[in-house]
Amino acid sequence: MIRFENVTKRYAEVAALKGVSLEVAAGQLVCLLGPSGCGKTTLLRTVNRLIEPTEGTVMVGGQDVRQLDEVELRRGIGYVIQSIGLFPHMSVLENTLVVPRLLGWDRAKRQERAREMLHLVGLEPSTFANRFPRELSGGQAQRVGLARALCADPPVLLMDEPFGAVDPPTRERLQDEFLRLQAGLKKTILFVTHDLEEAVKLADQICLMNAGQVEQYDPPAELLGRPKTEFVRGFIGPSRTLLRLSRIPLDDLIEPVVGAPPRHLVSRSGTARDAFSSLLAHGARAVGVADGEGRVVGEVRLEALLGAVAEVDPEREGEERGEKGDLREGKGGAV
Amino acid sequence: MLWVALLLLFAQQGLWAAVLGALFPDSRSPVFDRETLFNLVLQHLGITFVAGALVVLVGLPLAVLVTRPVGAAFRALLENVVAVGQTFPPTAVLVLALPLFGFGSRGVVLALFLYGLLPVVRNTLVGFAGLPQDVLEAAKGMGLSPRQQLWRVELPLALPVIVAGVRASWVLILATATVAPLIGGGGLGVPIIAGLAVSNLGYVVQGALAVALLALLLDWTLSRLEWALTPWRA
Repeated sequence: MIRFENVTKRYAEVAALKGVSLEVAAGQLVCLLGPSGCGKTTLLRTVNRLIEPTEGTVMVGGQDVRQLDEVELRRGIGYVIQSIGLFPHMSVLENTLVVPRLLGWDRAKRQERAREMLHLVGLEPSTFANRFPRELSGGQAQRVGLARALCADPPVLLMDEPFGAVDPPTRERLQDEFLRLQAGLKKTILFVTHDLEEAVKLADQICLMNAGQVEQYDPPAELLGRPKTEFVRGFIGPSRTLLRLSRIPLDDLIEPVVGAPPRHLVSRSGTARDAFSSLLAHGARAVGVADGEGRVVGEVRLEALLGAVAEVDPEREGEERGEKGDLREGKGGAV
Repeated sequence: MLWVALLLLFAQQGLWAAVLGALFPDSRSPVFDRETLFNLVLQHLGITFVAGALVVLVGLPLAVLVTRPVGAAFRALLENVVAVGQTFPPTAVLVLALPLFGFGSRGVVLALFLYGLLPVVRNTLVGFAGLPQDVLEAAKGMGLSPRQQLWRVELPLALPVIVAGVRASWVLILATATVAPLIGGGGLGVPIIAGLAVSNLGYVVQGALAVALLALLLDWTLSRLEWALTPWRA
């Protein structure tokens, strides 16, 4: 859906991008991750031609973006930025239907669509439609930004640290809702973040960048489990195992309860990280798993968690143990 | 409403004569009698309006133009010209305009136009410079054409600052229009200058008071307009 071919961007003295090649398959959420100044935002902005590469080609939907009219191109790509950039002089509803209006949709259709979008992002139109942006909280404004980007139903979304400016609890909620939305919408998304945890939580594929180059492009479990370079190893740091747990669904680890009924429970919709956290907190070797109605459906044991995170350690070759437990991996690999 | 009330007040020639007569009991003719106050006010507003409209019609587009890529090269020139326009005394412009337009209101309008250009141009430039970058970036990134960015985002957002400039400019023009009689223009400067010539304080007070009342009301009206145009602000 999006393909970067040897994309290079040079400014007078420095090269912001040094020959980046990357392919994003349709329906995938790819996180561009890296420290500030690594070129991730620059790369993102070459897609909607806010930045023109010095060399190389960016293709969207099989077309070279340079062949397309830049204004038309941008109307077909949803764009969400950290500071949101809602139009302060327009109501929430007007903000949401900006692109459909540019595209010339008729009034009734675009109004209905905008209300639908607001509803989708969890803002009740009857309450919020006529508010001005200054009357919104940070989280609400970010939701409007997302509704605005989705309103014309673009196949591709570009998101530049969209949840970077909201407080941590709100960010987590927005991330959860965003994942739920994406599961239904299946947009092709490029998502810039410097937050490893966010990338691990959201991404189908993570593209870890450094100094204008791609260090590693892999699914989160692969990146965490088999860092390819010293930079990657350093960037993900010592807590990478915990992060890997957060990508492992509990469902895969549930075993029938053996012995005494478990005293502590975690939710079945959670991740292995929740279970591990509960084990640590209670000094237990197993924790019960409850479904939506609170019924115990089984338990997760420490051994299962250890097995799930077992990774290849380059310093202890020969002791390789197979990866298991990550279902989301391999939903379309690097090309 | 307030405008109607104020104009009605100016139409009460007898009332002004009575009040000024009480203030200046020694004067044989406390109120200017070659023209009614109401007509002087209309002349004054006429001159102000024409000069004010010219300022907006010329100053605003020019200022917007130099904020666009095509006009950026002329920005410094425009800023300097309007700055000189305001430092140059309007009375001097009046005299210099004489050979061009002869006696009458046209030279007055030219002088007031040059004098009033600065606040409008400067505030327009300031208004555009202060636009939130994230909003501009979002507008561009969502696919607004440069023209749509200007009309749908930049101008509406800069409007409060621009209107504040218009307000300053028009009040300045209204007050300065009292120099008009120097080259045979009309307006409320007529009784003031006549009063100075014949040492009749009543005339001066009459003209000055009317100008002050008009200026206050104009300022208030435009400040209301400023808010009415921007319901989205806190």
